[in-house]
Amino acid sequence: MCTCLSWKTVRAGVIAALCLLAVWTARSFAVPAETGLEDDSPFAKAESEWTDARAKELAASEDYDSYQMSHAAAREIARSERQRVDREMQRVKAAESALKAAVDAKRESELDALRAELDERWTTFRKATDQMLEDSRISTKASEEVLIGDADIQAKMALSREAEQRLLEAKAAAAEKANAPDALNARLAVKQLELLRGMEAHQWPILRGHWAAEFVDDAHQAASLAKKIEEMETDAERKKALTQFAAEQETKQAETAKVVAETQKRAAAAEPKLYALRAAAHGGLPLLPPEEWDYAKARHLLVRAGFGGTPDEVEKLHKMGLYKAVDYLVEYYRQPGANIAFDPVPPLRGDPLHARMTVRTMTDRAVSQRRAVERGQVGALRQAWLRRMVESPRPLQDKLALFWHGLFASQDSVVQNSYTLHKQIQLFREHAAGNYGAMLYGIVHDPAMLRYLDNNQNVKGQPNENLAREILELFSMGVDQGYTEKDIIEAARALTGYTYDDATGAFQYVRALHDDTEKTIFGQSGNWTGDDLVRLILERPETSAFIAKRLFEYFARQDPEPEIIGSLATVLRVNQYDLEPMLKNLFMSAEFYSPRTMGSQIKSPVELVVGMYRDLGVRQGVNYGAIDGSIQQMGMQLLEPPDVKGWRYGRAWINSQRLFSRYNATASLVRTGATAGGQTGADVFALVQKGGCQDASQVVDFLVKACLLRPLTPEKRAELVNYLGELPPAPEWEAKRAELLPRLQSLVVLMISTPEYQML
Amino acid sequence: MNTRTIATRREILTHGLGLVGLGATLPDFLLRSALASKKADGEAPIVVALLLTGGPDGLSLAPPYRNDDYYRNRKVLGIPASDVLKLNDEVGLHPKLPFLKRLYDEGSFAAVLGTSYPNFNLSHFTGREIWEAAKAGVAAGRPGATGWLGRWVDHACADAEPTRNVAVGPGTLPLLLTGLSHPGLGFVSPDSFRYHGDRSEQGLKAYAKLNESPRETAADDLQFITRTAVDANSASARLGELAERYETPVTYPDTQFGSSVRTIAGFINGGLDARAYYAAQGIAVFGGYDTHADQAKRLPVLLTELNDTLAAFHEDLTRCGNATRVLTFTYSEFGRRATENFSGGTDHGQAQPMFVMGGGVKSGVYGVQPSLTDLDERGNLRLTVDFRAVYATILEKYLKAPSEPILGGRYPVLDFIG
Repeated sequence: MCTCLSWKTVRAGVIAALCLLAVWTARSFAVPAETGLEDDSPFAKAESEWTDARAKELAASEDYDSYQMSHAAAREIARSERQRVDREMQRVKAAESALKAAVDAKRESELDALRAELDERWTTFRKATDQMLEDSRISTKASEEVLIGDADIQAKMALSREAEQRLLEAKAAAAEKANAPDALNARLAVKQLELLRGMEAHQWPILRGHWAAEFVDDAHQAASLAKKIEEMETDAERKKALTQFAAEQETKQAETAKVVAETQKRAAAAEPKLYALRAAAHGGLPLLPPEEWDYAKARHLLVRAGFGGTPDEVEKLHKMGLYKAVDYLVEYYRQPGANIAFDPVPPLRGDPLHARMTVRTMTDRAVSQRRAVERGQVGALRQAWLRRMVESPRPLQDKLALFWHGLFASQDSVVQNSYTLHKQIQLFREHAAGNYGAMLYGIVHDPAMLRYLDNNQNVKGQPNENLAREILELFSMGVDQGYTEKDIIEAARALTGYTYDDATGAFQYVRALHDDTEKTIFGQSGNWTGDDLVRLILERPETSAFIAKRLFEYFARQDPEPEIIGSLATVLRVNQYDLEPMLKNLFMSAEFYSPRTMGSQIKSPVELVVGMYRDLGVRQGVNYGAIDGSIQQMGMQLLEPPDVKGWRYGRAWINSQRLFSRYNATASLVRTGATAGGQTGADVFALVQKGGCQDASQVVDFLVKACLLRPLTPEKRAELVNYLGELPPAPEWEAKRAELLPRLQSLVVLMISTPEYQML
Repeated sequence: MNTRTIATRREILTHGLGLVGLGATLPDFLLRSALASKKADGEAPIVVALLLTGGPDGLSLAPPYRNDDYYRNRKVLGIPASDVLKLNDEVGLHPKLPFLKRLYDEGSFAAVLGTSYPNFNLSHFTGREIWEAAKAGVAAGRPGATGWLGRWVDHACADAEPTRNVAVGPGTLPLLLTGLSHPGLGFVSPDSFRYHGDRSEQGLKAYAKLNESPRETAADDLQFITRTAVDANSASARLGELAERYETPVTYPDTQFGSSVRTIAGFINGGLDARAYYAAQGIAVFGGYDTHADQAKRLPVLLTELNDTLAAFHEDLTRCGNATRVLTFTYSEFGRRATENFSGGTDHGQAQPMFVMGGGVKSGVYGVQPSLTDLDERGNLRLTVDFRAVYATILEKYLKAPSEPILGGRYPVLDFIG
């Protein structure tokens, strides 16, 4: 009795206190608008309108929060009441059993006491039940308030957002009219607000859905408990009341379940809009309308943002839809990495005593032994990297690492240290879609690069400008873009003393060799170091434009219009040089899927060979030494770009000699380059079987779909069908596998010995 | 871009070249290369361009050995006057270039001093593009981009034969040789210069069909590749045969560059109808002449290779009576700075000497040695001769071609060709 009373008091107290608190906090935030605005500000009116609307929104928000709190309390109470009823129910049952046992055992003396006990249990149980019913109804009512009550806050929020939008719009228009330097940022602020509204439109239904799902659960719990009580109850009136309560709660449950479904639908509909809004808020390129997404575009995405794939793999991306497909490829770190180990061996050190050996051939031998270890390791490194490209479930990571290797090019023949080169490639892989600033910072501390561009010889008083020049010209700003010859010399001075330890292959800053005096770079004076140089470079607008252009050219096409580069560079800057948002914007953009971009690139040797294996689904038994040799014949040797400018993409890959190399080397790779499951060469047979082909022309069409970006002309297609010749009926293929595989391989060889296959 | 259709068997038959017996068994494109072989140009002049990759140090190649300022700027790297192979009272040649000195004495070696251009660029890549295009703002590999020798081949050869301009060696096809109707051929070795995919009759027939020009409007680069494929297939047999069967008693340095120049000699002595050749020294080998450090060690190695290769080339051409119809010149993306740096090397600079030798060349030292005291604000030798004057001279006096339309401007004609 005593506990029951005090519980009730606590319950009432909690609700009252919470409501008071809610009202108080709501009021305390509803302070009057600030009045410090200057009267002559052209935005004074819009500012004050927004401030008012904002204050109302905040007040409504506090009210809304108070509903939430009182509802949470009511719900908590109803739940405890249900638990209490459950406990009382057990006690009634226990008292009934005790009584029955005493009756059965004829323990007459105990019966009265047990009957009195049972009556008392029933009384308590019924009281608790009544309380539970009442509190459950209160909780239900509070739930309804929560679901209905967001109309007010949403209306206030909309007014506030609209007022803010008018204000930002006016500011942006004024800045644009005045051609102010921050006009772009002012415009982006408008777009960011639109994104915020989009995010709210997405979050509201999720929030509502969350509440609604809880109410569904509450109603279900209450209804089933009421039914259990009703079964025990003997009083007809009470039975009727319980049945009615259970029905009420079930109706509520069904209604609220509909709300859950509806909110899920709304959230799902609001989500895709966020991608376009986010692109606009970052100042990025307009996106491809998602309904224009098709198989050909999915294939284009996979060959450009990766190295290609089988028709099955393309179809998987196609089914994801544009946005999810791009997220899937760019957020590659959500996939497990390929388990391809490469254990680098630190460089062998020459023994100083070698120099004292008088027999020249002995010292030469010691040097050539060391060099042989280096060469072996460089070869192993190249092959391990190629293997990643062919097998990795994260193709974009290695496609990007290859991009960075071409941008921050170092040649093994100059560096002559496989260990530091390995660490450099790891740097590229780790930051592949990370942050360009971090990458540039890494590069001025990268032993292989410091060696490659002679910075170990760049010392106080006698600067060697090789590294400084290439950083500005090739790594960050672009040739003749916003720097002078004087800047190069000053930058070289900033980089003095940045060197490496020959023995360990680790970065070293030698203070005694650093020029510790003032330098003036881009008109800014200070006692700059190489680290300062990176910061100064990142502050230059030319840098974001240069990196955006290089990435666009690598992934999309040559000669982008300045507006395209401007957009992508803005995305980079807005995101402090984080690459992921820019890459997503690029891969989702309409420009990326325009006819000018699709199928417009000439495959690099790596793209040609790795892509061929990816397209044919060859993942096992690949001879990576053969691949490495082939791409070298075609003019591309990993870790040995032609010079510090890296590889020239596009037409530079093609001349008559190289075209023969491409045709011949790919032909031999199809026939002999991979051996798995007892097959010699690429298992074209397995691929064709998966394609469900029935005859020669279907085989040709399927392989064209798998390997080429566009259908061939009817004449060329007919030539291929004719070349393949008659095939036995499909059911006999499996038995004639040994005979068919070489024929299918020859067909693929012919198909890839075409100008069309050189494009991607 | 110009497009061209493949000669059909009918066209060849109507030309009546007596190839009918061959025609019955050979696929079209092989027939067509047989056709090309009949059109060798006898005694037409040939130009061989040699790129010295990386920007050689002109003050070491042609040291002004009488000038104290030279030794003041080059405390470590200065070539002692006693070692210099003297050409005149002012300049001489690096001691590792004895063949050029001999050629000078024989009467057909010219050194043109102080070549460069206004508003010069010290990027390896932009610099090379400017030297090869002979104008600024032409980017290699872009549709429509041409080099001055490519434009000359377009002018000199009304046909569109693929073998008129040939680059030998593993690098990319240089902008220098690229013309509009003559995109140029790149060649490394005979075996790698033919299709191996399926050499059965049926295979070659299908292959030829698939490598024909696309009928519909294709992407620009696809047309470019198709055209390269058509040209490569038609030249495959002839170039391969010439290079493979070439025998010479002359020994070339056993290096990539030596072997490239040997192949060029094989083409010339074998009567290929090419008019312009290109090979590069030092591509992808320790940065070639880009001697920011250790110049005293690296430069002699490169110059020995250059000297011995040129000597062998000259002997080989003379052997077959071709020395007078071949003019050879060297060029690079820029010179190097007047003062040496702390690393025992030299940094990118402006003016550089050009070497021209062979057909029509009159021995002498031309141009003006840039001052070693009046340097520009960055310590560079100032230009005294616009490099396009050297090209204009080659065009006007040796090739008898109008230089103005080819170079896109009028430049003075020098005296180094008689």
